[in-house]
Amino acid sequence: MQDRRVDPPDPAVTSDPSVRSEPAVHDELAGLVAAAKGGDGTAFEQLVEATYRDTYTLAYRLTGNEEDARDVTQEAYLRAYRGLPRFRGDSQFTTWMYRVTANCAATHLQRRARHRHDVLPDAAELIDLRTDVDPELRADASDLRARLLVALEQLPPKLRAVVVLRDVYEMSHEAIATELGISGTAAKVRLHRARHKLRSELYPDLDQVDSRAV
Amino acid sequence: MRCDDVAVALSESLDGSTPLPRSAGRHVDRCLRCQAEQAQYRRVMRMMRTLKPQIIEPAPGLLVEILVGIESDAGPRAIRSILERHRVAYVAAATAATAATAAGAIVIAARTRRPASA
Repeated sequence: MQDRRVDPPDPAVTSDPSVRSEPAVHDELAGLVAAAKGGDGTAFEQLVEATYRDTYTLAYRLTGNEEDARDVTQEAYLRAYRGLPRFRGDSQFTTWMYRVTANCAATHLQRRARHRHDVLPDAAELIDLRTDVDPELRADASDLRARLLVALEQLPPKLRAVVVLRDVYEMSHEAIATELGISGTAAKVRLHRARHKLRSELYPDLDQVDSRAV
Repeated sequence: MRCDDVAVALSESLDGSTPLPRSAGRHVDRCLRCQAEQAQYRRVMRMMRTLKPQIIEPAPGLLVEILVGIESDAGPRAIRSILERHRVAYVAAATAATAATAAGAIVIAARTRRPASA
């Protein structure tokens, strides 16, 4: 696996380490799921070993920081282990893990917000209070992809969760609403706000052009 | 119809899950501003899709932390071999380090004694 640093705000980003075809990987995971459900003592740990980087990546994209991402990843696998007997295999294991992770991240962020007594409104100001993101690096992020990553990190967590799950992981509106514990309408509203904010961050000029009637 | 009236429909139509209503489509066909907005949305969307295969590498130790968490929750019956592998690797590394330290100490002691015997 070749490690390469891609963008300033992203820690140690690498390309997908899997060199095998996607169907082969999914077949292997399906086999491990069946073995784990059948009582094979080592199958679940192999599932974890095969998927934890993916799960951590999603957790990081949802929470925006390493510490929370590690907590969410651990919690997600604990829930997955407990819930495996109920996993019917209608979807791929990775898709199921995405849903479990999204649910854990939502719970984690809610708990954290309550603990800090702060509110995470949908239309919160785009202010990044974290100190682990270097403002100079953000200012220097010149290419679109780097600016997109910065804009994503700056989104309020509630908006970021919806747009990441929909536009990066292609999760259905229904699944997003279920896992985040919100209505389908709320999910769509948040998705629009998030997309609008991202577009406005990347292309601010258009917002200065007056709306017109045609 | 104004651009603001089209904005939500434009965003919702991006991933194909909700088609752009005909009236909104007619507006976009004649409005350069909305066409530019649509093109920008599409570029952002394409860029978002490229993020999925990008893996963010966790700091070392996460795998073991996950397995230890499961082991402490469910008992050692499920999680064994990887943890054992890590434990064996840890013990081997510790043994190797101890052996290297001991060897180093012997070499230093031998060199210290040599001038005295000469």
